[in-house]
Amino acid sequence: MNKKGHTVLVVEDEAPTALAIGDKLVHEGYNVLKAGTGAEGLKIALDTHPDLILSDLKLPEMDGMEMIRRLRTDSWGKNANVIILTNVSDVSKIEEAMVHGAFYYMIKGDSSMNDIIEKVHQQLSPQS
Amino acid sequence: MSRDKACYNIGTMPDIGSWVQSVLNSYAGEFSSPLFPFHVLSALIIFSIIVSVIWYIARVTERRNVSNMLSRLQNMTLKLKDAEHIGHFGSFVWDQDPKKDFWSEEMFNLFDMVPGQHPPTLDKVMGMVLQEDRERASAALLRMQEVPGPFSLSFRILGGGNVIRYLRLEGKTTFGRDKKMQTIEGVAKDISHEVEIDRAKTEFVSLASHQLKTPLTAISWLTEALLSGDKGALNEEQRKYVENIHATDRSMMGMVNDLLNVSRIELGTLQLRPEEIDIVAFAQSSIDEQKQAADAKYIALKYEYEPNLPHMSVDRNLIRMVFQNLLSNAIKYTPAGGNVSVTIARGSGVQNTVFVTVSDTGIGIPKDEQDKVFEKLHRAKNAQASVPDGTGLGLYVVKTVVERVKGTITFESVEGKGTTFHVTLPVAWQESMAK
Repeated sequence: MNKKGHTVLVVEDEAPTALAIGDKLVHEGYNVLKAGTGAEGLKIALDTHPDLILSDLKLPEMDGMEMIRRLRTDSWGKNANVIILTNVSDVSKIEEAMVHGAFYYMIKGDSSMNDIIEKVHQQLSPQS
Repeated sequence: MSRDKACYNIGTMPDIGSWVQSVLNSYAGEFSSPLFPFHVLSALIIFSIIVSVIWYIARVTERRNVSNMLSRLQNMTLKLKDAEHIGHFGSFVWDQDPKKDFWSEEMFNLFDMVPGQHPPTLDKVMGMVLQEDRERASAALLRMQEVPGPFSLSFRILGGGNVIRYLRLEGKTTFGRDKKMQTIEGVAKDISHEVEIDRAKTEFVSLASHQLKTPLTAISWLTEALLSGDKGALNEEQRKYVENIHATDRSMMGMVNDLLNVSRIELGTLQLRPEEIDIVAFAQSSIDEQKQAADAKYIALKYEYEPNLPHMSVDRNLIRMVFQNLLSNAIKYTPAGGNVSVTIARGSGVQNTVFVTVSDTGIGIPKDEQDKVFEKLHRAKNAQASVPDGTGLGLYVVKTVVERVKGTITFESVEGKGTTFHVTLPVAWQESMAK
């Protein structure tokens, strides 16, 4: 599986969580960009067009759902790959994320690092 | 007895005596016979007068006492009325004979009815209960009428100004000699304020649990990264330490999830999404999740199921809670080398149900604690001794969830030998509105 060249944007405000995900993705061979707020995430996404956005929902300044909503108004952003990684497990939020075209909605507390990496692989290398 | 002696005797009460004597003397001509016992007649008259006076005094005193008692009773009634008003509770009696039905003034106020009229029937009261609570309240009401003894029942009504009021009825049902319901009496209390406080507490637990999940997730992932060797190889001791940190973190995450589930159930924010699932495969995945914990204690996990079971329409997360809690309890409370088995079959008694049993050869539930096993935060003494850490929420969650989907749960247990839980789940999606 060739992951070289694939860039993943991690939008996460909790530093230890961002560290764990970021390091694991780098170890798996991905380029990693990080943002600590929804606004920063949106800006980096629109500027750099990453291959995948891995985003939390509860974020300062602009929450993750709002960030995706704005992303979908952009000509590139409307088809951007997004995986939601959050501890918010409300059905309404899951449904809203799906409406906005999130590829996966993962609950942090129920997911191991390997589960996350598996979903990233699936999204970026669907043929494998 | 001589007449002189009679005069002497009545002379002990000189005034009345002399008056009686004069009266008798005036009739002396008519009763001139020396044999007529004037002294006896005089004594009788005096005795009658004394009795009359005493009776009169007693009557006056009694009247005064009755009047005092009435006044005290009125006072107490007023105080009781005030107490009912201040404490937001009313008293009631429903009798086999409707003429004996009674509602206190505050009872009428609680139901936004005008006091003084004849109390409404139990059926009329149920008609005032909010639609969402009516089925549950009616079932409890039926039970109140069929089983003598204490009862407690809570429900909501729509009060004045369309404000929802939470009421709790507590009291006892008495049966007559004919073994039929004689009276239902007790008090009704407005518990809206208590419910608000409970809700605030539950919201706090929910928020705190949610916040706790973030650092717990970070610990889990960082220790996972260390154990995977991504950051270099760990020596044996380091690995053991990190494994322990990881396992403790997962255990804490389990407790936090239990707290969150309970708070969601109590707040009514447990949103459900029914979907079709293959219960056989679903149970297998739940068993697989627990395999590591079972293997660590050399517990044999057995699984048997009836072929061609119908697919069920259920909320995946809800049913997961049932399997997870029953299985993890079974493994937790079964000594090393024991057995835990799961069976799934078609429900035998009720059509379109699936029957699940989870059995273990564990420590069992002491007989005197079996009636509390589904209570929130309750942990049996032998369970506390065997596994000190635990929230006492697992079985509460299971029962609440099973009832929410209109299923049933029972168990049989022998201390020191093991426990079997029997769960019946409807195949088609049904959700009780009771929260």
